[in-house]
Formats: sequence, structure tokens, C-alpha cells
Amino acid sequence: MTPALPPGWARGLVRRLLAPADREALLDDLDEGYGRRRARGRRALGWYLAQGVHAAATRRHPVVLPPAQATTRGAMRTSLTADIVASFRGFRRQPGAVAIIVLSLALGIGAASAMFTVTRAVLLTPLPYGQPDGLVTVWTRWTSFTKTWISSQELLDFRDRSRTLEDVAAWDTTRVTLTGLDEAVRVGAALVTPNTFGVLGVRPVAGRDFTAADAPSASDTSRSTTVVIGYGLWQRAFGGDPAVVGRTIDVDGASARVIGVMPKGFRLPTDFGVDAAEPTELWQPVSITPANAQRGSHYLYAAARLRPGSTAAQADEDVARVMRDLTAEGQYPPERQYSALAVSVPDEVLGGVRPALVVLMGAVGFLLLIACANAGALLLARAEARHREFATRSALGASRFRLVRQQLVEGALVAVAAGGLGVGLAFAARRALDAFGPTAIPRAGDVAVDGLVLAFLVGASTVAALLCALPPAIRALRLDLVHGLKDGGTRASAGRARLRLRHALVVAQVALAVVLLSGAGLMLRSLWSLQRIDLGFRPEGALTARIAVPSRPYDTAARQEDFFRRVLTGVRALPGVEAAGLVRSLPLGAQIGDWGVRVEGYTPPQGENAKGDWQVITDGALAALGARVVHGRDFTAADTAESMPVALVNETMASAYWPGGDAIGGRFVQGGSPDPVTVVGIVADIRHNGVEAPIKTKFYRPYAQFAEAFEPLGGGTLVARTTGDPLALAAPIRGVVRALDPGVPLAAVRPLDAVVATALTAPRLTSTVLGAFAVVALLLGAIGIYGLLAFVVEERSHELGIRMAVGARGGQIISLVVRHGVTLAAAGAVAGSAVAAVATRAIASQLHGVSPLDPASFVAAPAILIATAVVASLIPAWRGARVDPVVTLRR
Amino acid sequence: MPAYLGEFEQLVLLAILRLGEDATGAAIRDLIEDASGRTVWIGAVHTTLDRLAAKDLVASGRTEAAPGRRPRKVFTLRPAGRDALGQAWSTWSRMTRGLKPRLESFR
Repeated sequence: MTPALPPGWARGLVRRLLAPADREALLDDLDEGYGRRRARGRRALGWYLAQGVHAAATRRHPVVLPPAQATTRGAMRTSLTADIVASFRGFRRQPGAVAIIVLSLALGIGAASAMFTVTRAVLLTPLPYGQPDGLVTVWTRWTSFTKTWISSQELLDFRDRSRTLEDVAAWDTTRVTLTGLDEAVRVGAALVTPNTFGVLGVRPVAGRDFTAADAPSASDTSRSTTVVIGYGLWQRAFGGDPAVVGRTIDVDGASARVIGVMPKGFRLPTDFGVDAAEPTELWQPVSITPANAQRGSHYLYAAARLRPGSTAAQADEDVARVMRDLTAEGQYPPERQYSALAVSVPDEVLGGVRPALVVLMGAVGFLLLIACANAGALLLARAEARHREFATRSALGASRFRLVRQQLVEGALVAVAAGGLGVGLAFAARRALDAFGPTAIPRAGDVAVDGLVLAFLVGASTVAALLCALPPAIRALRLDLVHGLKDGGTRASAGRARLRLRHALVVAQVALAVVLLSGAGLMLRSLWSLQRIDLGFRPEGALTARIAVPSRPYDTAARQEDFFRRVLTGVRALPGVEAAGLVRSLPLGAQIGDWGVRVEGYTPPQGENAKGDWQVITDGALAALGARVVHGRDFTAADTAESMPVALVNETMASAYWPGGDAIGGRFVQGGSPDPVTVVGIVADIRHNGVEAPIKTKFYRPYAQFAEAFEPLGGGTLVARTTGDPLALAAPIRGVVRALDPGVPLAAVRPLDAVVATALTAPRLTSTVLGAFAVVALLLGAIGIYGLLAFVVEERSHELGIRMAVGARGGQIISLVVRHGVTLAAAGAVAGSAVAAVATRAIASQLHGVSPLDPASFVAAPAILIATAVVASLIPAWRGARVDPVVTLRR
Repeated sequence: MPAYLGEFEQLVLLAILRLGEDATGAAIRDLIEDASGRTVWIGAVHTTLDRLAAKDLVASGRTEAAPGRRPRKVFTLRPAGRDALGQAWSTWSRMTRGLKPRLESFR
């Protein structure tokens, strides 16, 4: 059997290290030794590297010295090697101190790299479009909405009338069921105008893009027979088979031919936001022409390509002008104030997280600075301790350059070690971020460690090396030979001047830590106040799942109604289930929009109209959500399509339109329906569009009656409340649905409290990460104070000895040293609070219920730091109090 | 008068004697490490071999190349090396004569 050989990289590394003279013989020996250790089942790689490095270091100068003809370059390299060897020897003498230096730098570098990895994926990687800066999303707004869909007629208007838009695309997202595969697959889908991919500047990786001919003609109401699918769906459902192009698949029971596959990572702009949980992966063309366009029905998302030279701001003004013109032409009632807006696609996609990430990047920069200051102070301490050695070397002819270089080499070695460790920390931190869920940060799922991230890591390490080697290097430059040699004999005067630099570093470190602590305090207080908001429902103990039926065979309201009723009956019969129901729009899980109403006996002020967010629920849904009916009654199974049309309203709607408190029994007409509905109950307000979002007027209609009056919804979110673990309900509920119809899939199965947690992701992320940074900063600050005081006590032992000899007691010495530490911390705290007062303005927009100058945070941060400083001072203080005057004075 | 040997030099020479034709640096290192229980650095072995060669106590040569096998640097004892080892052994024997029971008890 051939003996095992070490990995090529290890061998290559050792080969490079070894001097040419006996390189081959040593390599042979090392290989042999490696093979034997492996044969004996022992760990060999570490052994191999250690032996190789040791041999390289010790075999540089063979016994028979070569003639002294070494070139300057050679001499340089040799002495650099000597510096490295000397550094290693120095490190070995103080492994604890070096470990602290390396660890503190590694924390800084690791945290910075992890943050950069995320920031790169989210902010710096271009969006998956051609020239994304030239893209805008287009929305309309009027009195009822601040930012909503456009109508098909408006799409045509923007194409015809805008001066800044080259072309406008639009789509309508939905969910479809693919059948005829191994199992039914439910995917997000969109009906897109055929120009959509062209406007976005993306071409399929296989097959072809849509053409106008693919879309059904204006008179034909059926769906197109062609589809383009997403890369992920192609891989998942078709195994990445290239022959999928041309294949016919079943979409909601209608057959369609796959004509193209979009590239990996492609998403519609809305898939980063509103549809992030279930992005669209299947697209079918739809044709919008003057023949079929409507002005009144707003249901389309839109994106447009800017004309060359136009900006998003100009487009924003331009689309608003188009709407003004249309209003002037009599197309819209002026009192509705119809308008439009355009938002650049990068802002649209990243608007929410950009401020949080920018804040965290800034915070991590602070942390890296703290780590550098810490490592610098500790390296400086080492340099101070070797002051006499340097003076001696200088006296013996070592140049200042050599001494400075020695310091830089030490800094570089420390930074390399810290960088290596930092990579590991960065990966670990990345995994920790995943715990916040895939939809928490748009595109964070695409995170990869690539060349740029590694370059950042190397850059951060280099900067760290320079920063932390700078203080000792400056010290070496300012070396005072005479004093240096004289000093160390007597230590009575530690020399405040010599300590000034280290004091400054510690104060700076403490100040930065106070900034981070204040910021973290603010974010935590903000999160706390967010979590105390009354949501209006009980998130714990309920499971949610999205369910929708295909349009065949569920083509009538009655068929859908019957199916959902049987599902709910089955779910309610499961053990532990207290209540179950279906809701159209899950609070905090989906956005809800409003519907104009006419309330009997209520006259809206001029220019306004009565409206309410429209929720549709079955009986049992409010109980399953844990929502409260404060007056009147909940819907029951008796509220059917045949019974009297009824509605529930929320407290806000009741007090807005029935200020006399007589909402129950009141009647209103939902726009588009002739029949008035009677209010039978008032529901406590529920936070729906966001934990912080203002509560709007809202009404609830029974599922059966809504389907009868308007159109069947085809699905919704199933909510089931249980006495046990909500997730344990997932399998039984799937079983109930499968038993009724295996072709109906469930999607987005998750506990209600997970839905709420997701809604709080951004504040949770910011406060958790900032809090972690603050803890590390605090730790580093404590290390800095401890290290400095330990050194000072050592330096001042002579003085402390004299003090004790003339009668100072241990307690006085302790208070002397602790006071020193507290003074440093206080100086840092004052400076830090001043910086924080300015810096926290950067997070003002992300705070809820807390002022950026919140007194509690601004008192707590310095207080915590000073308390830490006291603790960190105690050990050196105690050591100082144990100084034996007899011993120290004799030295 | 044969050369005076340090302890590590003695161990290296003994290892060469024991290994015969297979006395590569690696084999010498392993043998000493196994016998002494201490970490032995390959660099130190080569430094010692260099010194012994400079004192003409050992010589190095290369093994024959065989199929699938690189020629290896191996070490052999020179006559002066044998003399020095013999001298060291005599000194050791004389110094330990009659002490064996006590030395055994120290182990």
C-alpha cells in the first residue's frame, strides 16, 4: 500500500517555506513521517505543518554559513524572517495577552465581514434586471389609497402620454396549481403584459420571451396557452430538464406550452416585497388593448423603463401630470384627487432595509474601530514592557526602521491570525442571521461569500493591522535612548507622558462603546414598545395555512363554499382544536386595502368618501384569530347566501360613521352592490397592515354572502386555534384537506405567532444585532480598562510600595486604582454620549415610541459602562493593594 | 581521541546504527521520539546531522531509485562516528557500573 501523502496545499506551503539547500531531503522526511503517522491512525496534518514551519525557521542558517555575499534583498528577507520568528517567540512568552489581542480583533473583523456579506448581497449586488437604475415602479393614489395598483386603461395612458417613460409593463399576481406532474404543485404566478421581461431587461436562459402574438386577443377571455417558468420551478418540478421548453403542462386545469425559462435569481420587482413569501415562478401573457381596457378597476402592478436621460424623480412628476391632465379632461372626479407616483426600482425593493443595514454597517465600523483601539492598546503595552530591550537594540545599532518594522510585523501577524479566526466568526454570524427567516431581508437568501467579500476581509484585516500596530510603532519612533536605558532601573516615575497615548486609546474605546450601547438601548426600548402594542388578536396557539381551490371543478360560489365548509368541519373535529375559520386577508400576513361604502345616515365631508378595509371571514374565524367581538354578535353558520346580508365593523369604523354609538343595526352599501347590509356586531380593532400601521376603518362580510354578492374568492387563509402545539396541527389539517381533494394544496403553513414575529423582523434584527455589537464593545472596553490598569499598577508598584510604607491601607490603594479606571470610563462616557446624541439621529426613523434622545438609554449606557469599569478595575486594584512594600522598595 | 558527543548526537548516531540502510531523517526522528517520548523536530535532526557530518562522524548517500520510489537521502556511520559511539558507550558503562539496581529503581 502506498503511504498517505499530505494535501498538496500543505506540501506546497512547506516547500515554499523551506530553504533550497536541503528542501528536498526535508520534504521527503516530512512526507515519510506524515505517512507513518497516518498509518498509525494519528492526526498528521497539524504535525506536518508544525514540523515544516519549525524546520523552515530553524534550518534557515545551516551550520556552515554561506559566504557573506547576500544581496540587500536577501538580507532584507532574512531579517524579515528574523522579525517574524522574533515575534512568534515574543508571542509564546505571553500567550494569554496575545490570545486576547487576536480574539478582540477577530471579533471586530468577523462582525464586520458578516455585516458586509449581507450588505453586499442586499445592497451592492445589482438587482436581476438590465440597468436597474433605469427602472421605476408606477402606482396610483387617490383619497382612498396612498399607493396602489393601476388600472388597465391607466397602463395605456402612461404608455401614450408620458414623456419620461420609454415603455410600461404591468402584471397581476395570483397563485396557480400545476397538475399532471408527480404531485400537484402550487406556485405563485403572474399574468404579465408580453413586454414585461423586455422592459425589465432580462432574457430567458432557455427558449424565448413572449411576443404580442402569445397573448390571447382582446376579445378572447381565456388564458394564454403559453407560459414562461422560473429557474427554481424548472429545477424543482422538472429536474432542470432542457426539454421542458415545448412541453405542455396543466395550469389550473388548462393546458399550456412552456416556451421559456427565466434566469436564476430572476424575480418580478413585487416578488421582493409584497409577494416575497411566495414569489411568482410562472408567467402567462395577457394582452391589454384599448378594446378591453377599463379605467375603474385597479388591479395591476406596473414597472416602466425610463427614457435615456430621464430620472425617477422626473418620471414621478410626469405620471402625476398625466393623471392631472386626465382629471382635467373629465376622466376622474376632481374631489377624488387621482394622481400617480413612480418609485425607482432599487428604492422600491430595498427601501425598507436600506436604513437598517446602513445603521448596522456604521455600527460594525465602530466595533472594528474599538477592536483596533483595544488591540493597539494591548500591543502598545507589550511595546512599553519591552522599552528597555528596544533601547538596547537601538544602542547596539538597530535602525529606527528595524524597530518600527518589528512592530508592524507583530501587528500584521496578529491581524492575519485574527482575520483567519474572523472568517469563521463571519460564517457563524451569517447562519445566526438566517434565523430571522428568508423574507426578513429582501435578497439575503442570495448571500454568498465571494471574491469581493474576501477582498473586504483582507482589506479590513490590513486596516486593522495598520491601526493596531500604529501606536506601538509611533512609540518606537519616539524612542528616547538615554531615558530608555536609564529607565527600568528605578520605576518610581511611571511617567504620565508615556501613558498618555494608552489613556487616549482606552477613552476612545469606551466612548465608541457608549455610542453602540446607547443605540442598542434605543432599539431595544423601541422593540419593547412595539411588542406591547395591542394587536387586537392573540398570536399564540393558532396555526395558519393558505388554501385555494383551482377554478376547475370549483367554478361556482356554491362548490367553493361547500368545499371550504367541509374542510372547516373536518378541522374542527380534530382533537385539541377550539375554533377554525377562513379569512381573506391574514392580519400582519398580508396587506389589506379598502372598499368604498355608502353609510346610511352619514354624510362624508366634502372631498372625502366613506370606505373600509374589506375583510371576508367565515364563522369561527374571529374565535380562531383570538379577536374580540365587543358588542353584538359574531357571524354564525346561519349567515348564508340566503339569509339577511350582514356585516361586522371594527371599533374605528363604528365610531367614525356612527358617532352616536348606534352602529349595531346601522346599514351601509358596499360599492358595486345594490343591497344594503346590516351591522350586527363590533370587533375590537386589529393591527393588520403592520404592527405600527395606523388602524383604519374596516368591515367584515361573511364568506358565503360576499361570494354571492360579488365573486367567489377561491381561497384564503385557514386559521385554527388549538389547546396544544399549533405546529402539531399541520399534518392532521393536511390530512383533512387531502382526504377531501388531493388536488388542493396547502401553502405557507405557519403558526400565527410566527407571522407576527416576521412582521417585527426589521426592528428585531436591528436591536438584536446592535445589542450583540454593544455587548462585544462592552467586553472590549472592559478588557481595555483592565489591561491598562494592570499595567499601571505594575508600573506604579514602587510608588504604591512607598504609599503603603508611609501608612496607606489596602482599601485606599484599591480606591485609588478603581478611581483611575472610573475616571477613564467617565471621560469616555461623556465623549461617547456627546457622539451618541448626534449618531442616534441616524436611527430616529426606525424608532417607535422612543425619542432618539431617550433619557433612559442615555443614562443606562454610561451607567452600565462605568459599572463595567469598576469591575474591570477591581482585579488590578486588589493586586495593587497586595504590593509588599519591602519587596518593591528593594527592587 | 574520538570526538565528544552531546546527548542528542548520541541518540542520532544510535538511531543510524539501529536503522542500518534505512536511516532516513524521518526514520531517525521517529525512532528517537518513540524511545524518548519527547517531541523531536525534524529540523533539529537535520541540524544535528549537519554538525555530525561536519565532524566527519556520519556520511550521507542516496538510495537506489526503484519503480515508484524516489531516491532518498540516507545516513551511515563513518569510522570516526563508530569510534565516538564506542567511546561514549565505554564512558556510560564505566559510569554506570554497579549502579544498575539503583538506576533501575529511579525509572
